[in-house]
Amino acid sequence: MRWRTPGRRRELIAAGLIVVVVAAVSVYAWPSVLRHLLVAQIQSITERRISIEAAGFNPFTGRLVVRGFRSWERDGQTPFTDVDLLDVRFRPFLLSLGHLSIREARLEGSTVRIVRLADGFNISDLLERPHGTRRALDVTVDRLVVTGGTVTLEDRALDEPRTWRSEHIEIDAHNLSTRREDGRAVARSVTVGAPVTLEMRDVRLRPIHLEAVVTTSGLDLSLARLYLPRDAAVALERGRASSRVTVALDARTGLRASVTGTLEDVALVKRGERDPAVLVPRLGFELADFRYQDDQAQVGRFELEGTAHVKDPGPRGGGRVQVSTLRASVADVTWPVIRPGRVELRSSVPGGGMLDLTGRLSPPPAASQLRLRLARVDLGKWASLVPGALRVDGLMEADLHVDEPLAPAAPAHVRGAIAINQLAVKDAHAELLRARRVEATGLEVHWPSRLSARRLVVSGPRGTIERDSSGSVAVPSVLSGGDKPASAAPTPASTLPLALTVGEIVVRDGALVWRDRAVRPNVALEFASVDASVRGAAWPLQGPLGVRAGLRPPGGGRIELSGRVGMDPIAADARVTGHDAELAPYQAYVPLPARIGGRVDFDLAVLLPPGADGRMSVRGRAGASSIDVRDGARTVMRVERAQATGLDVDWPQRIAIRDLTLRRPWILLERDARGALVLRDLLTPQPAGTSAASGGTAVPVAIDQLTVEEGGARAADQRVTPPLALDVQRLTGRVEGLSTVRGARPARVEMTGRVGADSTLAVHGTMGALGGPLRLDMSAELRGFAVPRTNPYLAQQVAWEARSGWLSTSVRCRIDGDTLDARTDILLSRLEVARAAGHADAQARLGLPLGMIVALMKDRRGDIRLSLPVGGRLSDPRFDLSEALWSTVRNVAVKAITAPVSWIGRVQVGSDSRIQRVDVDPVAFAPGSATLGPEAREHVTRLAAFLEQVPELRLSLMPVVSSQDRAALEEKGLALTDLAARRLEAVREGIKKAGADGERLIAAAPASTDGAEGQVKVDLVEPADPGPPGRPRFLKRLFGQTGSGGRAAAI
Amino acid sequence: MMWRRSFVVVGLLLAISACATTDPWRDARIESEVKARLVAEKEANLTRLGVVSRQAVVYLTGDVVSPEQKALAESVARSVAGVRRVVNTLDVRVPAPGAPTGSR
Repeated sequence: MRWRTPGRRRELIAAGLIVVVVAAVSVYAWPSVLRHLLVAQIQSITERRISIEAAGFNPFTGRLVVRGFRSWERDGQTPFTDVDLLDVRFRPFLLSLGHLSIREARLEGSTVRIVRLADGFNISDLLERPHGTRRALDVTVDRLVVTGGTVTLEDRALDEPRTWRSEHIEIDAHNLSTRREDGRAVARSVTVGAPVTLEMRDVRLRPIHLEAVVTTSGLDLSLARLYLPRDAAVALERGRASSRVTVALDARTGLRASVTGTLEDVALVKRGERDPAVLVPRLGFELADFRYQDDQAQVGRFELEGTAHVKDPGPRGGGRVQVSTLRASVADVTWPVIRPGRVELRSSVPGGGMLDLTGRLSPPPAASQLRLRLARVDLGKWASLVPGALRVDGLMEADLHVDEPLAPAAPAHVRGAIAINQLAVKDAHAELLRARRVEATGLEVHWPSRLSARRLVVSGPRGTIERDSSGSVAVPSVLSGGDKPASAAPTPASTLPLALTVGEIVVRDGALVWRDRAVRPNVALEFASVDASVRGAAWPLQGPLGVRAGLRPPGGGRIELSGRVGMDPIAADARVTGHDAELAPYQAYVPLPARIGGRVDFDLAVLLPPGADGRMSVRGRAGASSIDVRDGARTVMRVERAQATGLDVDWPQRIAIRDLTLRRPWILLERDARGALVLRDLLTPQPAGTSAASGGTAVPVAIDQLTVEEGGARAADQRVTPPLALDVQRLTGRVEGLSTVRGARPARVEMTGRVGADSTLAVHGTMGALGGPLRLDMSAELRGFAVPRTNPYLAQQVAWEARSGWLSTSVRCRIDGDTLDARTDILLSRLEVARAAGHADAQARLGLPLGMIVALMKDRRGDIRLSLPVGGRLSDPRFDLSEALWSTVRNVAVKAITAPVSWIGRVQVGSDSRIQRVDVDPVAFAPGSATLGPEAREHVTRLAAFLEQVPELRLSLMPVVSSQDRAALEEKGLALTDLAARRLEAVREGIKKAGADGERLIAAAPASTDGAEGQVKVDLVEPADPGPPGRPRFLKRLFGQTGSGGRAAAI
Repeated sequence: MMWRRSFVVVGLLLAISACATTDPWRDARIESEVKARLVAEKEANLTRLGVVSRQAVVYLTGDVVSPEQKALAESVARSVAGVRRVVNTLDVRVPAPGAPTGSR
């Protein structure tokens, strides 16, 4: 009832009006107030300018609507976010209980601009803002819907700022709450043109927990630049990624993720370059069991598999090499590393080959164990990485181990083995080395101080050394320091920081080719089957090397060396052996026109002391077999076996040989058609432009004993007609104490042999040192030499030939300095000579017919004995040995002939000691008489004795009737007619009576003269031609004389 | 009978004469000249061949490196005056490839 009082009623009406007014005003002003409250509050929090077009809030329904929300960057000018509509419905009553329960939140037309600046993001200040200490509200969102969302990411930290957009963002989420964990959400967007889908389930907002699957397709990977260091060596230029990421995020257990996906058209660019260094057409990857918690990351397994194209890193490059296979696996890896992880990487190597990296990664300071294996890596594709002018080709394989704490730099300690197959090393000019395989085992690298290998095996190496036409040895440009050949091998400068040691270097089946264009003909010598073992090799050099080496020289055989060899200074103490090594390939280095072949063997101890300056000593034995010296195709000298034992060389002081044996030596002594000695020309050194021909001081040579066994020679003379050849066989003997040392004691010489088939030769005596004044005391004896063998000479020189006869001679020759004192005793037995046809000139040179001379010189037994002394001073320029010999022969002949002739007449000798004729005294008669007077009888008796002493000569008797005879007969009244016959008969009978054979008297036609006294002229008649060779005398007698022996018939 | 006996004696003497007229130095001369002419062959290696002449029949012994050289040696021997026949017993030994020498 009290309500019905007017005062109360008016008060109530007024109050109601006020409430209505206030309510109306409030309803009317609330949105504006709310908008200002929101603007002020958000501006305060974000420190950014905010504007809201409209805002509405219904506290009863718990609906908040905000339209036209905009914010700007802190500069107040640049837009930051735009939201067309935010519509949130929540439960107000629960808010009072500390629980923000949103039934639905809808966000439409939102745009967020994120900018990456040089020093961070434009939202960095928002993210780093400290959280309040108040207890956070529980939040539940029954449903969240985002439509038309856009996020732009602008990267101003890049050199060329770029902007990416994630558009059409649609999110539909349910049950997002801090109190339950059954939230789920589906989000879709188009990010940089690529659709991205996110599905979440089991979402709890706090503590955060969710499981999500993010699916992207063709995502532009260049976004990743934002997360890569700006100064990285390689930048991601472009690429697309399609992936499916499964994420489990939990506040307690951290982040776990697994990713499978593919990368396509990925391009990596080196800094400062435009052309991509790596192109990846497609690469599959899988990341499993990735965990991130408490700032530690762990990769359970990461695998890559695909292909890539890598730009050729060489300066000549421009092409690309393909990594056909790339498979990487990383497991149990954490970062920072806190426990061992496993890594496995398998990849093809650009240009060919495979790389395997496996091992365990451990956190420093614990050691990580890594094993790197390379197989068939083509080094040629990486040649440009090798400094200098060298080009290295080959297929490399390696097995390397690292067992040390990881560090950013190169590993300090690497062990293992490296091998290169089909290695080829070239410089700008030629191939320097080729090897089938080079393998270093027991490798230990202590970077950067030491590199050692237990064993370095080089199989099938093949190298070439060349000397050009100027005599310079081409040194690899890498050693000479330039790109041109050097004249000598310089010591490479020791710029290596590493100390190198190799326990043993083994060379198997190597080959070394020596090409020399400095000699004619050019030489290409191949030393094959090179096997070597070198111990203790080091750089810098440390002491001598233990060397065992062997090779097959050109032409076959084997040369081996074992011992110790020092390199600095050069020194050696080694044994060098050779077996069956051919000499012929080194012909170009022999400064002789002769071609020399043969096979040598030797066993020598060589000592080259340090700092020897060219001095060395060699001791041992050496020999040669089948030594063959040729004049073109012809063998002119041959030794079946030459053996030197007790060889003792102190170079360059002396060469001593205890015993030098020549077995079956043979030599061709030929005078050619020009009269030149072929062998002398062949063995005369030529002024060749080779270093081998360079002379120098002769080294004294001493041979204790030189033995010749079964030697021989063939002497041939092409200058005579017909040419002749004579063999010397079974030449055996020795020379003791042969020396070239001036002042050495004379050498004793003993030599025997056979000349032709039937004569013997013996030489003995002493011979002074070859290097000193000529001292010779030699005796030579030749027995039973058939004179007809010299017929070509006789015919040419004296126009006669020997039909038979044997020569024995002994020569004693003494030479002391330049004084010659020689004596030759000659015995010619059964010599028969006959005129040779066609040599008229020779006859003139001889003067008296040879047959006559021979007959005169023969003694009763038919032998001719001569003793020829020859002497003179060899240094006298007027001395001519040949002329001296001939002069002696003439003198001796004159003497030999003069003695018997002097009984019956006289020998007429010309001024040149040549016998011109023999004059025999006539048998004188008294005028008109045919009776021998006392003087005539005596003369006739001497003629008979002459015939007895010179059995081969005949006498021609020519009766002469003079005018005195005619006058005396006329005075006595006798006839003249038979006077000549009677005188002839008187002389013949007188000679026969004295014991001579009447058949050796030949009657000549009578003659008459006006002046001379009556007489019988007597002339010597040369022996009759012995007739055809070999006809026995009894047959001659049987068939009579057929030669031109007499000028008249026998009496 | 008398004629027949005389005829036999004369024939026998002629036969002996024919045999005996053989020059004992002819074979030596032939050997000498054949050796010299073999030596003079510059394009072949015939310097060390063995040469024996018996009654103007020349026997060649030794090794040569080719059939051509064997034929050449025989031709050279045959060209020497007085040679009735050549018995060529030369052996052809072809040197191994790469062997620079090959003479015996």
